[in-house]
Amino acid sequence: MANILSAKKICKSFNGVQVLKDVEFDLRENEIHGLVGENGAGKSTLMKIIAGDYKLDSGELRIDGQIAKLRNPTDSLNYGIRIIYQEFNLVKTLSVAENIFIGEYPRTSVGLIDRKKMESEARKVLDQLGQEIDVTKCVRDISVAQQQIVEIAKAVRKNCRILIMDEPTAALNDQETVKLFELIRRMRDNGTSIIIISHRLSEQFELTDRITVLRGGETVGTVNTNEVSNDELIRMMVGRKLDEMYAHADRQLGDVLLEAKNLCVNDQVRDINLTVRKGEVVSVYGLMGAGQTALADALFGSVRAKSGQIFFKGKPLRLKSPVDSVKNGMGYITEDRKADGLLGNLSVLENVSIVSIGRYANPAGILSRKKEQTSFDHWVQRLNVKFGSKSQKIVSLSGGNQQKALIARWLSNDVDLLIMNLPTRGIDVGAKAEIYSLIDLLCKEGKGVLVFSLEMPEILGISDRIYVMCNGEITGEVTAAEANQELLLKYAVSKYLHE
Amino acid sequence: MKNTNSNVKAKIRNLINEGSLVLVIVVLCVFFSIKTPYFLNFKNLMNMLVSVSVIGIAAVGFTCTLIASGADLTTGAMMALSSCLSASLVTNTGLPWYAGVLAALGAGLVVGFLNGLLITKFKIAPIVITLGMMSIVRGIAYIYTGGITIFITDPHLKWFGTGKLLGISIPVVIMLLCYGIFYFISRKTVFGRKIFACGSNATASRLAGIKVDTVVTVLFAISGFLSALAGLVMSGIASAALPSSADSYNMDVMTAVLLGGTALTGGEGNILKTLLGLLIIGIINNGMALLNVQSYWQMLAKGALLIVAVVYDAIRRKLQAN
Repeated sequence: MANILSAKKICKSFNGVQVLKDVEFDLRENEIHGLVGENGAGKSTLMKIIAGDYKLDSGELRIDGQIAKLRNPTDSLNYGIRIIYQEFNLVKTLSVAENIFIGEYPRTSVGLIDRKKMESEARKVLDQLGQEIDVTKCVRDISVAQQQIVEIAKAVRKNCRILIMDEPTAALNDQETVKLFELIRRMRDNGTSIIIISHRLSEQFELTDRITVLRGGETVGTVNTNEVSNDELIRMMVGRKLDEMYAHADRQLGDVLLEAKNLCVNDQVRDINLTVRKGEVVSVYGLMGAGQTALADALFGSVRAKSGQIFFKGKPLRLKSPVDSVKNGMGYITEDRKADGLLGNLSVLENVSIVSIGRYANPAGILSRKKEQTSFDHWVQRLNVKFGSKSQKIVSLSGGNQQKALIARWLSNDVDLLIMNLPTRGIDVGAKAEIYSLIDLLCKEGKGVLVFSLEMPEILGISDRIYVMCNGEITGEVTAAEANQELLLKYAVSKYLHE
Repeated sequence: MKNTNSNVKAKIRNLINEGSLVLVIVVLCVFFSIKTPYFLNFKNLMNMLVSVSVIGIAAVGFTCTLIASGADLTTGAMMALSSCLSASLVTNTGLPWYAGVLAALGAGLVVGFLNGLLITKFKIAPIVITLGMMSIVRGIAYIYTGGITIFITDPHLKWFGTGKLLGISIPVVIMLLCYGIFYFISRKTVFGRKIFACGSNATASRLAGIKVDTVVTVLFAISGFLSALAGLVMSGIASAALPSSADSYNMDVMTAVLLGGTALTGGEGNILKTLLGLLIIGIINNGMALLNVQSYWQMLAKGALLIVAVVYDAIRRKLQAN
């Protein structure tokens, strides 16, 4: 079979960080090709280059053997490349037919929208896909599975030769998934080549003809699906052992600091049991969307858990809001620094002291600038936060310094437990190493640290104990001594495997 | 060349950030002093201050709610209700003056508290709730008075508008006290810091253990209280209470606050700069009146001023971002 698409030595960097390095990928005619890799392996970036969303730095893309320049989404569309993202691009208030034809409505002779023609054409497209949906219905009134079909119909309406689907089954139940797979196979047999990005290895085995594995922005290899096993695939995804940038001194574990018993956050995140001891770094690993943030929010009390118990320092804690957890000595570094952490209009000083501010005031609530300043100086020095002046706005600092300032915010309030969700997201390597050694230091002082992370090397480097989440549940617990990447990934996909 | 260019830019930026309001005031004062001999004397300046004291007092509360959450449009209507309530209770019902004053101030607190409660409990934009409340409160003022003007004879109620302390008019004393107290609160207290934090990022503030809903509710209650206080001053000055009064005051208050550089998006602002914005409005109104400019022109000038204020704010922000 001929290659419809081939990518050679594709390189792509963002702000000096290389995301793709000499990536090789080829797609044959009439095949379903799986693309797998850890979080951050470069899958999405590669697909966005093919879809024309990103421009490649170097390398070449060939379509039907001819060099293709894909500078923008329109170029890719003209080559018959369509992409369906995990988050649908549908206008919920418009009808099915209007969505399928969005932007290119059939017109009547006077220039009005020809609704009849649009609806009959939409019906024809759905017929070809073997699907039956009322095209006059509003998209918000149809099921998620049907919305998925509408996305596909929109994509294949005209000249679709390559269809890229990102986690197409994420929102579907088993039955809907089976139906979707039938449709995808039918499309392949009718001549469309399909690329499927999915964490769910079982689906990759069930659906694909070949699988390409990416790791750290490089191609590990492409295999025929029927010639590879689960374990082999996981080994390819994980690869070599990591290097040492992590501080991990011998730790003296104390009493249990935090304990969650049968905690159910919502319908997805349930039956959570975990403990964190004084002087211990505990991590929670999981693939993106396994429910980590919902769990972190519930442990800190920023969302209320549906049921279950949380014990803190041996006492049951009823967390109605963060007010309770802050009062009891918890701190929380959120996943999205800008949206949930920074007080953007405020200065570095005001950002650091916002939690501990009561400590610098007399009973009437009047602040002592001197006390505030002393504490601020102490913590920014200790955490090595670099800034021009204390009155400069915090948003003007680098990501790493913002993060260190936010950590200082909690430490200055003398927290016993620090919950950190993606603590090193979007910060440079130097600041990362500083944060790792800071975590180590906190543990030496008898504080507990609970880290939620998507980066396995980081987790293996800093943790004493690791919980693994998959699909909203804890599927494994391993000690630092037992842990390795293969084991973690196995637990992280355990709910997605067949057998 | 490039260097001097960026130097000039930096200077302009500093000027716009720090001294521009004072500069505008100085320029306006010089202009009106040259144009008319009646402008620059103690009596006229005191008159000018008295004339802006009503919106000035309300603008203190407005600044606080705008920094923490959003605009409080109930302000003008609350002034009218407060003046009618106190005047009627004292003049028609025959209650002692302090009962009338307490009832008016209490009504302001309750209305503001309701605003805050509705905004925080149901997560509705302040502008919507306070707009609805504006109409309700105005309606109550009309229903309560039957639309009739109440003349104030009680000397205590008059004192709010015409009294003097050490030669300074009471409205001005009350206004300056409000600015002093709230400047202190906003700069030197824990609560003041929380006002800015809530307005800058409510989610982050909540996660930092701040009771955001409480802070916002308290501020709307304070704003209602200060509007009621402004209403007492207003009817004291006029020796009369009208349910239709203070109709355009929302806009005057907002103009002063925005001229003072408080961000519509929250998290930024300065009580004292609101006072400067207020002085600009007062000087322009006063100067134009002295120059015998028709009052219609004052209306036009006020509108232009509001637009200048927000455009100025946008430019300042852009310069800061660079």
